[in-house]
Amino acid sequence: MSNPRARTTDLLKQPTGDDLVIFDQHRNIAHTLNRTAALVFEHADGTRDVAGLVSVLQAELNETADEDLVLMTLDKLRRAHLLEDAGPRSAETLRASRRRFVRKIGLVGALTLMLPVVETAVAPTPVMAQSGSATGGDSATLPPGLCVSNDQACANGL
Amino acid sequence: MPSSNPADAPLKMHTDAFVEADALYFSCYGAQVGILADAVGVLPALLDRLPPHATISDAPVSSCTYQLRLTEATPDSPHCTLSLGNTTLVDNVPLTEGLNRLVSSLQVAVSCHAQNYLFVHAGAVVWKGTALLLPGLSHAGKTTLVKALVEAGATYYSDEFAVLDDNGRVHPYARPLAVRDEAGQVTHQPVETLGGVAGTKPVPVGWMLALQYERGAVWEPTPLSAGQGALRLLENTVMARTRSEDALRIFGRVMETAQAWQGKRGEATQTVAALLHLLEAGG
Repeated sequence: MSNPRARTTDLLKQPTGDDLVIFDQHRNIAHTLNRTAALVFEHADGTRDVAGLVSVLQAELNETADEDLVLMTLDKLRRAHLLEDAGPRSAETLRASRRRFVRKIGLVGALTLMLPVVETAVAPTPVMAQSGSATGGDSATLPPGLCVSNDQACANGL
Repeated sequence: MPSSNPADAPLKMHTDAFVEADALYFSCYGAQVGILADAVGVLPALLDRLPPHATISDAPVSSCTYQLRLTEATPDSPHCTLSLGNTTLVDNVPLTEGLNRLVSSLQVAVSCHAQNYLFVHAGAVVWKGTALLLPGLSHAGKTTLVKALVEAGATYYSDEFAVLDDNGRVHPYARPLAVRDEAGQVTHQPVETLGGVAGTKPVPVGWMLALQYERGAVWEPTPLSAGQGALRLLENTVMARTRSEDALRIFGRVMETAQAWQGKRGEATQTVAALLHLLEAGG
């Protein structure tokens, strides 16, 4: 299996507090990665295998970090289309990793903050932002060209 | 522009060719908007209905130009057609209705064409020197909550758009509050009629609360991380796709100073009491 490699194209990145916010210009969605997810994303450059990423997390976060934590994080990044390689592991394999890691750290205490979080939101078009509808909704008050199907029209001055 | 009463506008037969007889240009937060009419006497009615902070411009420069043409109608009921570019917004409707539609559209046009500012659908007030943003799409109850906050002593910035600059500060967009009654009818109430005042200066954001109305909801907001707060803002940003780089940078700045929360809220009055308690406690 090749080393995990994070996507680098069509992505905008912005450190925000302890998180990393990423805008996927290809899919028009945004993600926020907590510190664990951000560390794996930033260091998954194809030169490190899973063990190498474990070392990064152990150095930057906590000695408790292990292979299960890295695999869980990679799965979350894959599901968010933030990795170059193939689709996620099976749900059962993923659950097993999570069970093992949670059992290891216990469900209380600061160590739960190590669990990876990748939250995603859709960037609306102007029509969606106006109406609250992902399908466009009532565009009655929008100037036409602002941008029922193609908001590039708006950027181009209608 | 000699008359301000649209009913006094001279009638004009619709023809295919648009012949400009009057023009109005304004700028607002860097957006330059033009309105052309094929008759005199119509545009003055718009002067006090332009987006807040609009400045009339002498130069015929615009990135967004509307055409308003009067159409055939009875003498006591002038009608109009409103278009933008090649697209007709309304066709042969009563002039009053056409102007109302234009006024609504102008606000969205400004939000889309603003330069150096980012428009986020959010209520905005200032409480003790820092801004509170209430992101939410249209009909999410922003005005109701903003009105209650103003009545509780907050300084009014907007009931529709938080206008953010590159440093993450919010600027006033103090349009009259669009207060909706139980029948769904909207009246536009200047903040002064509520006993409130509008802000005039940019201020840093101290709080961002993404609240969702639910009848009888218990007030239990949960804190968000900075990145989660940025996502809540992005979800309500007018030009989120075309200005994503600006949005990420600006929201990064906002979240340097802001605490973010989300949760369900009940009625505005109870929400405001709980919300102010949260703010007074420093989050």
